[in-house]
Amino acid sequence: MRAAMLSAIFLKEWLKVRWVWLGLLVLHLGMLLYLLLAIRHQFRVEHSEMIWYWAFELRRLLYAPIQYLPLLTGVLIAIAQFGPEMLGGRFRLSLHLPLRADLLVWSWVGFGALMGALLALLDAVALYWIIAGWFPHEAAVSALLTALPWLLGGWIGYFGATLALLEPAAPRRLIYLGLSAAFLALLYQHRGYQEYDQVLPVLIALALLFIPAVILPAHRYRHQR
Amino acid sequence: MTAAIQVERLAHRYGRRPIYSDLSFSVPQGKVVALLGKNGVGKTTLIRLLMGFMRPSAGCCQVLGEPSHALSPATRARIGLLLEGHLTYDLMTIAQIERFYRPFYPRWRRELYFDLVDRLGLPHGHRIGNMSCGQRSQVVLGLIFAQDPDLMILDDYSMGLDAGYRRLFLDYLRRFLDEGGKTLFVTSHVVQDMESLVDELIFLQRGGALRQLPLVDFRRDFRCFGFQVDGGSAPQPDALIENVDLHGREPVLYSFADREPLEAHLATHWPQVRLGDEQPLSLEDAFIGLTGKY
Amino acid sequence: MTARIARWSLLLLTIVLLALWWPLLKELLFEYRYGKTDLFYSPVIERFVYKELLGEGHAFIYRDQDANDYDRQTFETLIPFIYYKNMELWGKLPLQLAGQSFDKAQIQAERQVLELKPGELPGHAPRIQLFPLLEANPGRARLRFPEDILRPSEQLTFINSDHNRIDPELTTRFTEALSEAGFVWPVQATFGRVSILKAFDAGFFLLDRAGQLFQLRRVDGLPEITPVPLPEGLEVRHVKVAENKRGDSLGLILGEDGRLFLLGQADGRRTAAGLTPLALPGYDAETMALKILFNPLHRTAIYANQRQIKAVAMNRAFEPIARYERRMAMGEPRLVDRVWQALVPFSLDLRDPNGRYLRLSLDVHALAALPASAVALLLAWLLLWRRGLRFLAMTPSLLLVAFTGVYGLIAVGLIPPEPSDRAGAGDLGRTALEPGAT
Repeated sequence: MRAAMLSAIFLKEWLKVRWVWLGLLVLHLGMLLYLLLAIRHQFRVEHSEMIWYWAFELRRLLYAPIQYLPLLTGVLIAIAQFGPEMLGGRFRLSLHLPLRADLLVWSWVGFGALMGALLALLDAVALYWIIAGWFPHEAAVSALLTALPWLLGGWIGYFGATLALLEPAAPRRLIYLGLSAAFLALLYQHRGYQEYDQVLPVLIALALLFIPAVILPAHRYRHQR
Repeated sequence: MTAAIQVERLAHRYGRRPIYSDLSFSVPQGKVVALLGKNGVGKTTLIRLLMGFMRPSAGCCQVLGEPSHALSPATRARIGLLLEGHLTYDLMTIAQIERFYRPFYPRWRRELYFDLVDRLGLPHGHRIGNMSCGQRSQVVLGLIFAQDPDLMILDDYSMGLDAGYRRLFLDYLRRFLDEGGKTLFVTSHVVQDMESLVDELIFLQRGGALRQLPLVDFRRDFRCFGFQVDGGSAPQPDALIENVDLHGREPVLYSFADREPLEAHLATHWPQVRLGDEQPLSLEDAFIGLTGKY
Repeated sequence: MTARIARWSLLLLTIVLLALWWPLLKELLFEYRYGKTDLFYSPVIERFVYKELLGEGHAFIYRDQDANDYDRQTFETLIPFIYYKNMELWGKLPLQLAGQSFDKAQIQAERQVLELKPGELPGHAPRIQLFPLLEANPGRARLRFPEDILRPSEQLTFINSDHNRIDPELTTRFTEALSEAGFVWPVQATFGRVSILKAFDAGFFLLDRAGQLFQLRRVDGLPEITPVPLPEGLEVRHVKVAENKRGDSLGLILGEDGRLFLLGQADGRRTAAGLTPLALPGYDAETMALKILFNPLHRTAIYANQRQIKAVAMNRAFEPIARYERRMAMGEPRLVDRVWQALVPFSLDLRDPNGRYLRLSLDVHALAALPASAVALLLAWLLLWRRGLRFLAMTPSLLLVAFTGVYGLIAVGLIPPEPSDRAGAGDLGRTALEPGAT
C-alpha cells in the first residue's frame, strides 16, 4: 500500500469523523473543565487536609466523573466511521478499491484508534495537570494509573462497536456486543485507586486481540451468502 | 477472443429459495452486453456475485481471468463498477472524491472526470450529498471513466434518472466506448436505451432461464403477429411460440420463426388460430414480448 | 488467512472472557451467605466454643469443641467477657471466675481486640505513600489532621495541603532529627494508622535501609523518635499499629519469616517498648485474618483463611494454654461448587480475597471436568458435522474444545468456521459448501 493511498483513506475517514470528533473534543474539554471546577470547588468548601485524607486513605476518586468518557468516545468514533459505510452497503465501494481488504480495514481502525488516542492523550495530560494542581505528584500519577482501565474501556468500546457495525448478520452483531460488554464490565470494578495495576497488562494483551478480530466481520461482509 | 466475464453452471440461493440453479454465459472482451430481466430475477445478485460481494452456492464465475470471489487488487483496478442507485460517498465534495480515488488507480485520467463534472456547473466544493440523482450519476460516471477501466459493470444506471440525464449518461458512455478496447456489462430497466448501445443481449428470466444473443439477431428474428381465434382456446407458448399476449386490443403472439413455418406450426397444433399481420416492434415491445408483462 | 487469524483471536477472547465470568457468575447466582465461624475460648468451661451458620435462614449452632450443643443464652454465658452487657442485664455481674471477681469496669478496662488482615499487608493493596503525621499532643480532646502531609523517601518531606507546596522548615527539622537518631536513608516502608478516631496517636513506624525500625511522632510540633528494639535477625514485613486505651501494647509486628510479635508500649508513654513473640502454629499472614481478643484472664488468637479456623488461648503472659482448629462450615464445598467446577476444565478469578488488587488466578480442575469436556467435544463435533465440515477441517476447532471444554464449545458455537475456511482459495467449483456435495 502506497503512502498516497493511506492518506486518501485517512482523508475519507477524517471527513466522516470530523464533526463527531470535534464534538467529542468539546465534550472532553467541557468534562475536564468541569472536573477542574469541581475539584477547585471542593477545596474551597472543605479543608484541604480532609480532602487529602479522603483521596489517600478513604480512596475516594475525585476524578470518577470522567470514567465513562473514553467508552462513549470509542463508541461514537466507531459509529461515525462505520455507520456511513453500512448505509446502502457503501462498504462495497471500499471493498472494490484495488487494495487488500484487511489492510483497508486495519487502516480504518488505525485511523479511528489514532483519533481516540488523541483524546485519550488530552484526558491523560489534563488529568495529571488538574490533580497535580491540588495534590502532590504521587496522587497525579496514581490518578493516571487508576484511569488506565477507563481508557482501555474506550478501546473496547471502539472495537466492539466496529465489530458490530461491520458485521452483516444480526445475531452475530449481538455476539460481538455481548463479548464487548463482558469485557467492559471487568474494567469498572474498582473500589479505590490503582487496583488494576497488576492485572492491566493481561487485560491490555487481551484487548489487543480485537486488532486481528476486526477482519472477520469484513471478511464475512465480503463473502455473504 | 477471450471472455471478460465467463459464468459456468452458476447456482445461487437465498436460504432455501433458489435464484438460479444452472447459469452459463460469457461477455466477450470489447463487447457491450446488456443483462435484461424483470424485477426480481436476480440481476443485482448476479452483479454482486460477479464482484465477489457474494459467494455462489455452486458453479464458476471468472472475471478478467480470475475467480470473482478472489479478484486481485490489480484486477479490481481494471474494473469500473457502478453500484445500484449510483451509490457513492455523499459526504465528499466534487474535488474531495477525486482526490480520494486518484491514488488507487495507476491509469487515473482526472481530465475525464472534470470534463464530465464541470458540465454540471457546480463549484468543486459542492457536496455530493446535496446533488440531485442525475448530477450524482454524472459524478459517478466521471469517476469510472477516470479510472480508465478495461471492464465496466454498471448495475441499473438508469435508476432515478430523468430522460435528459439518462440520455446524457448514454452519450458520454458511448463516447467513452468509442475509444475502443472497453468491455461493458450493463443492466437497466429502460430497454429502449439499449438499442443504440449494446452488441449483445442476455435475457434472464424468473427461475434462471437465460437466453443470450446479438442485438441485431434479436431485432431481425423476433417477430410479433396478430391472430384471431375461431372458437376454442388461444394458443399457448411452445417450442415455436415464445409468448402469447391477450391483454391488448388485438391478441398477439411472439416468435423467432418466419411467417411460413409459424403458419405451418399453427395449422398442425392450433388449427383454430388464424395468423394476422406482422406488427412493428420497438426493442421494449420485443423485450416485453419475450419476457411477458407479468 | 487473516480471516482465520481473526476468528481464532475472537475464539481466544471469548474463551478468556468466559473463564473470567464463570466464577463471577456463580457468585451472582449462588451467593455464599455463610460468614466465618465465630470461635472463642470460654473462661468458664476452659474449652473452645463456636457459633456457626449451617444453613439457610438463621440456622445457627452454638457448640463447644467436644460437640456439646448449647442454646444461645447458655452459649453467651460461656463467654461472659464478650457478652458482659448481657451478663449485666441478666444480673450476673460481678463475675466469679477462677477464684476472682470481675465487675463491669474491670472487664471494660481489660478488653481489647487486635486485628491483622491480609489485605492490610504491604503489596496487598495500592497505597499512595503520603501520610499525615498528627500532632500527638493536640491539647484538646480530639485529634485533628495537620495541614501538611509526610512524604517519606530520601528525606522526610512535608507538603502543605493548603498550598500544595513543600514546607522546607518542617522537612529539614524532621529529616535532621531522624538522621541524628541513626536512620539510614532512604525510608523503605512506612506503617501507621491514618485516623483521627483513635485514643491517641502513635505516629508512624519507619523502616530504614538497614532494616532498623523507628517510631516517629510529632509532639508539640517537634519530632520525637524512638528506635524499636527488634530481636536479632528479625526483618520487618509489616507493623500493624493499634492505638488503644489499654496502655500495654501498640500493635503487632510481622516478620518476613512469618513470625509475629506483640509490640509493647512503654508505660503509658505511647512509645514503643519491647516485643513479645506470639507462638501461632499454622498462621499464614498472607492468607489468614488474625484477631487477638484480650480479656481479664486470657488472650485468644484466632486466625482463619476461607476454610480453616485455628485458635490459640494464652494466659496474660502470652503463654499458650490451649489450642484448637476446625474446618469451617463455609470451608465445606457445596454441591453447587462441585458441579460448577466439574463443568469447566479451568477458570480465571480476578478477585483476590486477600487484597484490594484485582489479579488473575488460574484455577485448573481439568480432571473433574473430564466428563463435561467429553460431552462438549461430542457436541462440538456434531455441530461442525451438521455445518458440513470434514474431519480434517474441524480438527483445530475440536482440539480447542478438547482443551477448553464447555468454554470452547460455546466459543465455537458462537463463532463457527467460515465457509471460505473450507473452500480452497481460487477454487469455486463444487466444494464442501453444500452438505450433499463431495
